[in-house]
Amino acid sequence: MEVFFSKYYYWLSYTSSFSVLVPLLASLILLKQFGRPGKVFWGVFLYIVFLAIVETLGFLSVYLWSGSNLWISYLYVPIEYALLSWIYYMSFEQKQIKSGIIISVIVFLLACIAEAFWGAGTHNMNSYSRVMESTILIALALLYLFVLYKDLNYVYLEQDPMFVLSCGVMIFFAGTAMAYGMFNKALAISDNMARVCMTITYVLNISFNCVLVLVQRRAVTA
Amino acid sequence: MNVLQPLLIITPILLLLVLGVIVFVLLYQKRLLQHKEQVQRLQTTKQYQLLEATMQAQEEERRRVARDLHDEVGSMLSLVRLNLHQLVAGIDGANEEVRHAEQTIKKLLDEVIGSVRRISHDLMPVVLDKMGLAQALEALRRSVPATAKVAVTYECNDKSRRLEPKLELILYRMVQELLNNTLKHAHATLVHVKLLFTDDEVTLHFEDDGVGFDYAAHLQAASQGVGVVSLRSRVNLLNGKLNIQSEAGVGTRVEITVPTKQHNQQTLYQL
Repeated sequence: MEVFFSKYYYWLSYTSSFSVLVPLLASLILLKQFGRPGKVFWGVFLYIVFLAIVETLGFLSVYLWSGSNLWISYLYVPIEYALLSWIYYMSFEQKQIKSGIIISVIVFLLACIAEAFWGAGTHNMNSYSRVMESTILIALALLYLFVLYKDLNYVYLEQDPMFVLSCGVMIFFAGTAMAYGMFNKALAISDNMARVCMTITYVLNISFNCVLVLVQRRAVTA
Repeated sequence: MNVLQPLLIITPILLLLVLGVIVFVLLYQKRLLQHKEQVQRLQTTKQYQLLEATMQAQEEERRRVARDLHDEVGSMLSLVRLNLHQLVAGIDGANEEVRHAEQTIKKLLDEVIGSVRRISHDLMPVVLDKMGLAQALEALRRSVPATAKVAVTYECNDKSRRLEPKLELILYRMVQELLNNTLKHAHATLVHVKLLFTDDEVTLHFEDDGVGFDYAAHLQAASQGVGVVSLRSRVNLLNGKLNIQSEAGVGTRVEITVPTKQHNQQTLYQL
């Protein structure tokens, strides 16, 4: 385990951080090739740009300013949730679901603010917000699958960009929920314990960024 | 590491659950689609069977009426003509007026007999049975009366070629329908019919220089004309393709392509 942490952990960390460039470059190439993509493409593209900005901000924070970038998580989580739920908002047609999404964004924003001010503080991971975000996004993805599977007009589900995105969201957030949930507890014991949590998130993050490429490929022709 | 035990146990379980949900949705949706397709297939088959039965009944009725007209009405009219001749011949010293009346009645009877024969042949063309579609279309071309003031031209790349009798009959009926429509509505002066045989397909071109019609509007209309619907149904029954091009004022072009070998025998009605 020690060998992994000393030799490979940082490579994995950098790979995870830079992996956002893959969907970003893919989106730009697809945009150049296909011209006028739909709303889903632009929604996911905005999300990818946001991920790239957060990764850059993370590096700058570590090397230039505080040495810790955990505070970014308090900004990242609510904005990430708002962006992803906006993509789902555009995909649903039912007014009740749309209203529910708007309410969930407001409630979640309040919960994030509450955790930032009265929770573990900005030097720790916002575990509750992360777990809450994972839960709501998985619920949204499942809701999308439920609505989709009732609609028999979709002959090839795997060709639907929102279906691919929902699969990616479910895998990524279900896989990282426990890791983020236990991060503070693990960090209190040792750095390596926390690194185990982060290793899981890094692997899933790389996978999720690859899924985003597939989403954009389907979204551009949808 | 004990602290991380829940993480290492629950995370794989969650991932497995998520993968399970995705696979379930994919498989279930595929199954639903298969079911929907099967129901659609059954409905289509039922519709075809109904159409086949209707067409079969129609053809049988035509055949019966044609036979009755030809064998009974036609024979009786010929007998009436003969009796008239004998009646007049038996009158001694029949005057010029009687002779003239006899000639007029005979002329009328000849016209009626001719009409009965023509109607009978239209209903069940003997040439089609004996000589095939190519020759039957030639006979159909010739049967267009001069009073219609329409010049019908016909060409075929293989006049000796025969197809399955049922296929020939359906194609013949379609040409009859098109020709009737042209004579009734198109105000055309020229009609061109072309029959092209290839190894696997037969293509029928029908073209007139009549007033035409707005085909796009016709398709969008809630109640499409019976003629187009009937044509389309017959072409579908033969697994063929129908292409109609028409605009107001520029005539009508119809192209029908059907495979010469009908693999699915269910799609052809039995005569």
